[in-house]
Amino acid sequence: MSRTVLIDPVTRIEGHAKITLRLDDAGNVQDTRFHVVEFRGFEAFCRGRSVFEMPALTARTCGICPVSHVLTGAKAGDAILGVEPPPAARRLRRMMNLGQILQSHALSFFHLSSPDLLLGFDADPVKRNVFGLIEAEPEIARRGIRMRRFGQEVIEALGGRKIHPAWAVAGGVRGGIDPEARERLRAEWETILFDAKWAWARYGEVVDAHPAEVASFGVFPSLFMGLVSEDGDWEHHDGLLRFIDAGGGRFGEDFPVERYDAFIGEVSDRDTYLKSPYHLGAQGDVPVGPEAPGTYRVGPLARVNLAERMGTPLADAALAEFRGEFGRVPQGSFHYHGARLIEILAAAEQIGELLADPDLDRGPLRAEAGINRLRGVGVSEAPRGTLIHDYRVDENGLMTGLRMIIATGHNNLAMNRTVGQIAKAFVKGADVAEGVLNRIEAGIRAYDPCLSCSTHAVGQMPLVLRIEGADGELLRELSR
Amino acid sequence: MSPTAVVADPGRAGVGAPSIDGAPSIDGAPSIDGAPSIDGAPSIDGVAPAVHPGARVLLIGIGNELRHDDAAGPRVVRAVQGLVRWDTLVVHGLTPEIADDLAAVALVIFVDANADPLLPRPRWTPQAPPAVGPAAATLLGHALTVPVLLALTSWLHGRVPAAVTLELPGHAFCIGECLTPRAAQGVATAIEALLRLHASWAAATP
Repeated sequence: MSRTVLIDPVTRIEGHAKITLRLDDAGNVQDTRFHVVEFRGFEAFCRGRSVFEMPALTARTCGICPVSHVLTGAKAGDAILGVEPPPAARRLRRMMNLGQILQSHALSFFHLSSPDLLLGFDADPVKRNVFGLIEAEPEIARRGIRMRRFGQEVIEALGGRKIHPAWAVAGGVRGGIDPEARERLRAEWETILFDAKWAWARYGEVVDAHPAEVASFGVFPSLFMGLVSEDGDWEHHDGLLRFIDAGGGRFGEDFPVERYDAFIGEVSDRDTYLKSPYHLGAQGDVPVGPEAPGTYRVGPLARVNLAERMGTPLADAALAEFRGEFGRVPQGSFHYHGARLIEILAAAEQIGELLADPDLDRGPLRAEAGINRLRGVGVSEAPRGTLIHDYRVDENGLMTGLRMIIATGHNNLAMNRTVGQIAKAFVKGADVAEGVLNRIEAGIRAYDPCLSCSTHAVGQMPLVLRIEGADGELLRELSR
Repeated sequence: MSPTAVVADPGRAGVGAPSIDGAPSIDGAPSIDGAPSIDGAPSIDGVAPAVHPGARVLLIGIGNELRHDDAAGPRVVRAVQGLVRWDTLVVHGLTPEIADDLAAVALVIFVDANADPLLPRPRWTPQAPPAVGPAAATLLGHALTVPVLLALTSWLHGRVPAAVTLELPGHAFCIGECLTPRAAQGVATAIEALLRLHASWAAATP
């Protein structure tokens, strides 16, 4: 008789999700599924809207990564107008995206993952949270908030608002940086850089403390995808898309973003509303499944693995250290945390360079044009991975079609595989300890998924574990 | 949006309403409680917060404005933000750095939709940090809950403002921009209530 273990929903992850573990008669994990259980429907909602409205409209789908949608929507609009934004607009857009990466990564590492990483996966759940963390290491929560606030101040200095700034538009941006805010940011910047260095310095300690988790959190060969600059360096806003294989070799040539659909397919599954993208050139007979050859990963680990260099001194030094310790292309998803810290360094350094640039917002900020193309693709790197907006419009610029592939979607196959790997390593029978459940969740949290782009957050609910027999009989239920 | 919660206990009225330490209450401030609505039922359940003269107040509207009734909180705050001398904030969800904003005020009013199908009308619900324990352990996410944010404020800044949530009935939360009739009525009631509360405060605040 097989038994099913259901974890519903995943806490500390945006949106609705649940995890099902199926056990065989011997109590071994037979199969696992990561489900997302709410319909998105946003694509249909956008039909008939003006392409000029899309950056602001798509931004409102999500409170966690609105800037990513604003910028990606504006880039898709650039393509429909057939224009390149002026250099100053590109610099400003890049700066806003760096602010977004900084504040989002700060939340992920300092507040969501640090309780597990610094207090331990088996720590008393009553203490294994940000309050326990403050008790044990009060400085880390303060640094996290300071970094997050700095990132949001970057966004506000440019867009006038911290959340949902309707600032990036097709063709460029609406305005330059607020001069007073710029000076404030320059004054705060060194502190943030210090915090970024301090956080990176903790990573070795984190890895040493969790050898079993490092060895079991999504350690499998896969492709990696993301933007790279034309020189092959770390990139988050412009450039080309690149796939590499598990050995670090190029998986095909780098390609312009508008050709993404020649390489990426999506399949739907009956028990999840999160589609599963896969690499078309690598698919086997069954593109979705634990051994799917088209599985690829996006996000911090992918970007760091793809890049030849980070492009700034401290981040490059950290990258060299990372690769020296874990190899040229670390395969384990635990290392998303380390890659996130390297990106925090890179973002802080690049923001510093932009703040010091006298030409930051000098010159035209917007290229004006009408509707010149009926399709436009925008791609940027959201904190949690590659975000694709593919728009189709009529001659009046009204949307006739929209396809969005969100970062969390790209990672769907990899997250499923990660859940399976962790479950097989730690679950034996239905008597599952709380720390094991937490590890399964933590394996998903390593990707820092944001399901609110595709789901509706209905507050935080307790974690529920259901263990069922093959006939659906409830054998056991746990919650925390 | 708030997680589905229990229906208000009428017996709780008047218990635990936030007040500002050391500040006198405004005499004669109009009470919201018991004001009749169109159908004759009280327009807002629970007890309105005491807003003392000169107190710094923060209004936070919470919700996704593209999710039908989840926009109720943001709509209320956007409607009043040009009309009140209080700080205002509209957010998709509560995040840790908002603790800094809370530490700077004497009273915070969260305005949020509630999916409880049994919530007939808006309701004032006093808020406080949770006791340390399992409740805190499971309340972390990209978006924090009100009690956890208050606890974070207390831990980080050593103080926490008086806090109350103005919960608004919500019924539809799929993609869309309009409110259901009951949510729209709740929004109108909430706007009126907040403006009356502000008028009392403003009359006594130089």
